[in-house]
Amino acid sequence: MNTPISLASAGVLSLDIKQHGICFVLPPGATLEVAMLDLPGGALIQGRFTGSVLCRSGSLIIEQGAEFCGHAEAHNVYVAGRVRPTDNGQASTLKGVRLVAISEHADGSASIFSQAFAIHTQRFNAHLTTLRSDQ
Amino acid sequence: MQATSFPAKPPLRSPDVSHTGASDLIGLLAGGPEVHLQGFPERKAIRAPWNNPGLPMIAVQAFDREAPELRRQAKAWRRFVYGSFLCSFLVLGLACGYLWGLGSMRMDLGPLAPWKMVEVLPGGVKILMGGSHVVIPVGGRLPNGDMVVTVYPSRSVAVLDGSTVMVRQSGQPTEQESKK
Repeated sequence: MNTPISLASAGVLSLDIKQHGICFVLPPGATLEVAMLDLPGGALIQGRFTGSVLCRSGSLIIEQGAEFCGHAEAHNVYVAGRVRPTDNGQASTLKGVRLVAISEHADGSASIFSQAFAIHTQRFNAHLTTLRSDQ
Repeated sequence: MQATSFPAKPPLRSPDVSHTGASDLIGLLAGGPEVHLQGFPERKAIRAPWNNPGLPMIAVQAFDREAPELRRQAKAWRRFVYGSFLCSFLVLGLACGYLWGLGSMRMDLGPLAPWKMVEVLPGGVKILMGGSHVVIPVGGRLPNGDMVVTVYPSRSVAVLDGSTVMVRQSGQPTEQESKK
């Protein structure tokens, strides 16, 4: 699925929630701790999420001010918030099969798996693993 | 006993969502039909593949295709640089060696003032060099490096370490014979 992306203005990435298949929203101020969240589409994290999330299609978007801890898998992963290690000290993992994009406002650390990376900050400590197109 | 009567509750009025799709509700939750993420560079500055739809796969495939060629080019460039350094050092060494040898040759080929043997004296020879007469005693060396071994003034003969010279009275050497 081609995911349209447009930059509304300089420095702002606009993502259409329909085209990114968003079917789950964790609003600002909300906290969700879950063992496994299995979604048919994408997810928009605006609050605090701890656990594992699997987006079978679409994108996982972690907005600025949001906090993510755990493991995530989606077609595309966009991070503008904070990704922190799990409570037992293990790094969170972000798997964006096609793309993982990190905003300059993002911070934290994670192990990232993807076919393509767009990392625009030095504050994010990322361990990158490139996926082949058949993975 | 009078029954207590409560005022009738107004019917609950919730928004009519019967014609609202799930994505619209998601949009309402998300605060709009689009999510705006700050902190990404301007479009013209983006070289990553995510700025155009469909490009990531193409970019990755292109990278996979181009990576071996890039590696080959980098290897060739490294070889070129190392070869250049090696050649430079070689040329520099040869040049130093040449200059060293040239300096030695200059010592050997240093300009000699014109001179000639004019007379054989008892105990040495007299030479004319640069307009003045110089006496070279037996055991001394002539300007060309030959040593005066012995002299026979009566016969105007000077024996050098490489030759024997007979001097005429006019001042010109008349005969040279090599002993070696």
